[in-house]
Amino acid sequence: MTLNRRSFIQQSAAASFAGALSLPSWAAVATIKYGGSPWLGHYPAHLAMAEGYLKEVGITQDWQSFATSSARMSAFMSGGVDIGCAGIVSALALMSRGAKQFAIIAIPENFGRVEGLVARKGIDSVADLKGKKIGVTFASSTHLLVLDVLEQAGIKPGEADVLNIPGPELHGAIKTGQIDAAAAWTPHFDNILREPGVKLLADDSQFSLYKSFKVTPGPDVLLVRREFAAKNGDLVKRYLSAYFKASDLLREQPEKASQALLKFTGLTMKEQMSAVTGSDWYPQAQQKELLTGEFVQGLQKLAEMLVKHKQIDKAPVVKDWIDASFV
Amino acid sequence: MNAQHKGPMISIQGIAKHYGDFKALERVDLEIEKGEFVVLLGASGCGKSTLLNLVTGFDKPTAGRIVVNGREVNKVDPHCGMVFQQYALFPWLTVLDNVAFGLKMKGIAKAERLQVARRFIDMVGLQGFEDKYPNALSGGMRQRVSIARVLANDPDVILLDEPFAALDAMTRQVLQDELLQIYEKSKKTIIFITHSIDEALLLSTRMLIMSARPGRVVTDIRNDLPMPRNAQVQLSPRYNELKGQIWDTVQSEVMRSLQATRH
Amino acid sequence: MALAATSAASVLLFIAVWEAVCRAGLVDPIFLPPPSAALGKAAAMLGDGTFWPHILASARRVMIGFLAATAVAIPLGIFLGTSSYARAAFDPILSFLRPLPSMSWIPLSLLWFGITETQKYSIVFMGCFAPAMVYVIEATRNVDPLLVRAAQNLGANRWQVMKEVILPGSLSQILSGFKVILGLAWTCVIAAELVAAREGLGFLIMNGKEFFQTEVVVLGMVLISTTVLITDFFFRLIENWVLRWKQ
Repeated sequence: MTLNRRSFIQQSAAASFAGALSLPSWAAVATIKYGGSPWLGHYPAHLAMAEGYLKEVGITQDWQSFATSSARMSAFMSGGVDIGCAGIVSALALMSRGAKQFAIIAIPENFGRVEGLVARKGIDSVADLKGKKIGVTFASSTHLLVLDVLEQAGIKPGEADVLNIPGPELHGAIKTGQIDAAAAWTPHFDNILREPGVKLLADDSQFSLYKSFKVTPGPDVLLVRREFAAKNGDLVKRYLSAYFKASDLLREQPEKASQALLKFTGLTMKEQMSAVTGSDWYPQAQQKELLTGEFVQGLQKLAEMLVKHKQIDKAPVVKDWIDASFV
Repeated sequence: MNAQHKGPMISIQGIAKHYGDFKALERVDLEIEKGEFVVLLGASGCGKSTLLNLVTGFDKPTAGRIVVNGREVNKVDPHCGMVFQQYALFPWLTVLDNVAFGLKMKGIAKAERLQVARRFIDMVGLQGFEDKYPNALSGGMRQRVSIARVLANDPDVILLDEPFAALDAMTRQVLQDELLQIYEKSKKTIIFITHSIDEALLLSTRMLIMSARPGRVVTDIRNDLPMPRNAQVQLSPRYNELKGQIWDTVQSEVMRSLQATRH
Repeated sequence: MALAATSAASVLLFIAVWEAVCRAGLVDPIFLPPPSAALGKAAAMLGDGTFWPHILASARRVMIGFLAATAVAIPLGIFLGTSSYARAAFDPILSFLRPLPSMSWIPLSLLWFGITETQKYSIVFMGCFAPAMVYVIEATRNVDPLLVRAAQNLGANRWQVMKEVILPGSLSQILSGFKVILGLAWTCVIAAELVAAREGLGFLIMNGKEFFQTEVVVLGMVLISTTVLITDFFFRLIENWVLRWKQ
């Protein structure tokens, strides 16, 4: 069907007129693109959608899946997602290059107990890792954890073999003895710990910055695309209200939340409960404090640590990306 | 020379070759004695090449059998050396290596086979060209290499399928002379295919005129012209007599096959 | 001479325009870094000694995988090209292997070979083997059957025909096909270096991508392209020597 310009304008005018008449403006259903994955950082966003909280505030969430943080960050850069949870490391990498396309608007959770460094039988401490092979997914939170605990144990770069292995492969690699230790996050972390003879060498609580700033090696942050937020400020605020309603559910009714997540994550009930209860779900009330206080200083120190370990070239000024106006 | 059994060198018994309905050869019976230079003469499609392919073992007959030097032909045999019209030289080998090829296949040591090869390269008048590749040679030279290659293998029979057809008249004449000299020196049995009546008269001791539809031997003529077949012989009355005889036979066969195709 | 100068000038102009566009701030450097950034990174890597290990690691993996694949494909392909029964037996296996991208072999190769260089070679091998076989078999079909007849007529048995006629006769087509396979081997190396690698150009690009160091990505790509061109050049020298009879 060919449209000439006149008929196109006529039809658009008719549609918007009808649209304006039928619904009050705030209740017009708006769409927001969310970049997610089965990782626990996305639980609030998923639950807000599954439990209907977003629908209540007139928002349709368009869920886009990304397997890696860097892929999600690329989508932020190109406009493919409007909002999403991301690991801070990828965000810091872009921030250090001066990318201003996104802002940090909330801190979803703290998952310090669901990742760590596990070693095969015979290795009892981090110091024993000298000359051994360690598998970890590069540019992730566990990567920085490994670099940090190795440094704390006095092992110089090059004295241990740190290899890049994607998350799902780590279990197989350590099981078959191809690597001596693996740093992973849930659920791979839990699977590896179930192997006979393995020992947990360190989790996030051994991370040097955790001890001082309560910052894990790669906390999750909720990001929004600045351009989108500038045009849809009200929408973002409504979104966050539904979002934190889901966070409250995770914190206060873990069984109900886990049940609702099973289909999404494909985990067993036991694994799901472990992931939900193993994280601290921050409420909306705490956000202002997190976004302006010690936590941000901790993020800055994290950036400097990444520079020290040659992961990024220079440390960005983290607070330039914080936007606490939506919470 | 391979052990000679008593009896004809080549015995073609009741040979037929059909491709579906097409009768390329039908009822061919003939015997060729050792040392004969037999020329197969005839228009296109009369089965000359087909017969040669059956003798070398490239094809199998639909009926009948062929016996060469006491052995029945059922696979490709180096005892019948073939010289192809398109030369079939191995382009990646030098002249020397091409000529030595058959000897290499027999497992003869390098020094010895190169020495033998050089001898035959000299025989065909190509000394100095041993290290050249075929694409640097003219058509006539390539055919000489081809002949030398076959000779070096010392076959019982040499088969040539219109070997000089692609060459210019002067080169052809030179090569015909050389072939006759080789024939006289080596006393090999030779089967030679040609379209040209003059070439047949020049080279053969015996001429078999063939005809198509079905392919068969129509006339078997003994060539009693004296050797060497110099200019005098070529201008003699006997030459013209033979030529006229052949001409008539070939002409009528050509007319017949032309009429057949008009249907 | 004038043609070569035109090409060189064109390349320099392209680089100059690229640099100018970046300097003028027309493009965010994350999306397109200037060539000077890539060069700067190269200089830094030369300084701390990390430049050559990456290139040599990838080149080594490409060469060994490629040579292994071709060393098996040439004789096997010639054999399959000449024997219809052998081909009937092998064709289903080849048809199954051919569409598989080299990345799909990573999990199995890790199980079989562990985290070793052999595992990397195997990825390159698996990516190159089936296409190489296809090229070789195709090349054997284009050998002039008259040459085969001539060889048989001169006393060559089946194996001699394969070695003395089919192999040299198909070599020209095989070599031109293998230039393509060499390029394919590089894509395989990039895939192989995504997992369990510490160095290599593929690793360099992947690592740069994770940290959004786009100039590292660009540098990696340039290095791959240059290395391929250089190996291409040597390949052509070898090809000219092997096919010197063609003049």
